[in-house]
Amino acid sequence: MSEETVRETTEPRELDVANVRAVRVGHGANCSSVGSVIDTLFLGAVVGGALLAAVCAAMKVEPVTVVGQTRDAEDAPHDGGDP
Amino acid sequence: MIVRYEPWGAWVKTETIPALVALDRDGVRALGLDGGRAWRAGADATPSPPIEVHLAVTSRCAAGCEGCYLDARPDGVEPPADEIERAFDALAKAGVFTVAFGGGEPTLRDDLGDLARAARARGLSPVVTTSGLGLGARKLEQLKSFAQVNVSYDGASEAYESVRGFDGAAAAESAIAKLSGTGVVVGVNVVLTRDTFERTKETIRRAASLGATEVQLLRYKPQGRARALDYLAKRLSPEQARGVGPLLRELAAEHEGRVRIRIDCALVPFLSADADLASRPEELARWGVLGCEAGDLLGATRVDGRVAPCSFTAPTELRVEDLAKGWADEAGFAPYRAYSAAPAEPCASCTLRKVCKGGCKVVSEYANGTIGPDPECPRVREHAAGAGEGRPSGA
Repeated sequence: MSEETVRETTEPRELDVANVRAVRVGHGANCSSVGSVIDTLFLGAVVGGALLAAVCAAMKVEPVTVVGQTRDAEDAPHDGGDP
Repeated sequence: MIVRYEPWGAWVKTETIPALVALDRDGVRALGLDGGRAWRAGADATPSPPIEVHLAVTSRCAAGCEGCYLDARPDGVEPPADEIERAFDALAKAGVFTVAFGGGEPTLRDDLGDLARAARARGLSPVVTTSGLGLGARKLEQLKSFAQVNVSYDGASEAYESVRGFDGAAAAESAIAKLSGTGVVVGVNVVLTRDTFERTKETIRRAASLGATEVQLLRYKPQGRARALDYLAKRLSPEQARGVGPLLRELAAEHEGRVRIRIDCALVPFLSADADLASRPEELARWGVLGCEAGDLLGATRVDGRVAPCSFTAPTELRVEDLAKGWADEAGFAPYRAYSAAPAEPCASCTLRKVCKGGCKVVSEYANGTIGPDPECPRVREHAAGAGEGRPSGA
């Protein structure tokens, strides 16, 4: 993809499920309207927790590609804090 | 994984587990990343590019479905491959994650597999919807290049015919089985109408038995050939609309995650009739349930390259090649974004407001000639009837 940066992750990352604001599971493949998985809401906390944990585990180890508005390498440190 | 910075953190698309995650700033920092400019620019007021774009790769289709939202025809237009690849370039530049091939019937293109691979080469996840009609070995091979394939399947013969005007159920069922048999991740799109609604459980059982691992339930919408008087007879009855929440609960209990159940954006307002779901907006948001995202997280591109807020809405002046620089300021998106941000009552006081975003604007425009409360939403119906006075929000 254009404007991308790619780097391999070599250090373990600390990431908590509390940092996940939202997760959309799966690809979906409808071409006319946006679809959202709904059954997760009915499957109970154990299933949901396991899914969140698995997604967080994936984020800790997968190589990173940044797309869209990429960070300028010369940018000053961020100002911190959630919006 | 693919990361796109946002003012609030970042969208993260994971590959080992297909998922799109909205991660807060602390979470992004925990990954050793920094949003930089995106976190400093006061960009909250600037609409971010879509996460998903529906791309019409042809307007050709010989199926002749009565309710086709694009009025696709056998003599439709098929844009050249290089034009579509330039669209992929533009989507990639904007940071779009998923491109959903539609039409028309995408499998009528001889180069469909090449296009899917071209999308993947740019970091996009290509998915596609097909009728499954005429799915031979060559088309099957092409579809292997997609991350997921959904087959339009509204149920067994009568149900299918009631939606599309012909019985293509056997072909759709054959396609589901063939795709599943070759290892393609296959789902089905089920249009909920007055006729199909009562058979939904049976339809999903049948699709699952053929190998479908995901079901997307779709609301019937008044656009294209469906924008006709019989829309009123085909749409869900008020009682059925109120029954969507209980139906979803039953489906989840029956399939226990073996078949993933999705709803489309236009069904979200119907959840307002379900007291349990209406009381859990934070959970809906946490699990990424999206209501109307037209011109926001969702965009659609027509065969002529013009971009629309969604597949059912009229295209704007924005062309797909200008998506990255033009998305935020395109005037044609403004009415959709404005209503989603500040809907009128009874949407304004609904607990599901931030998820639902005012219901399907295509339906409200069809019914009232303007964007407003979705007239088929149970809560809106109650409000209109005067029964909504004093009721708890979302109930």
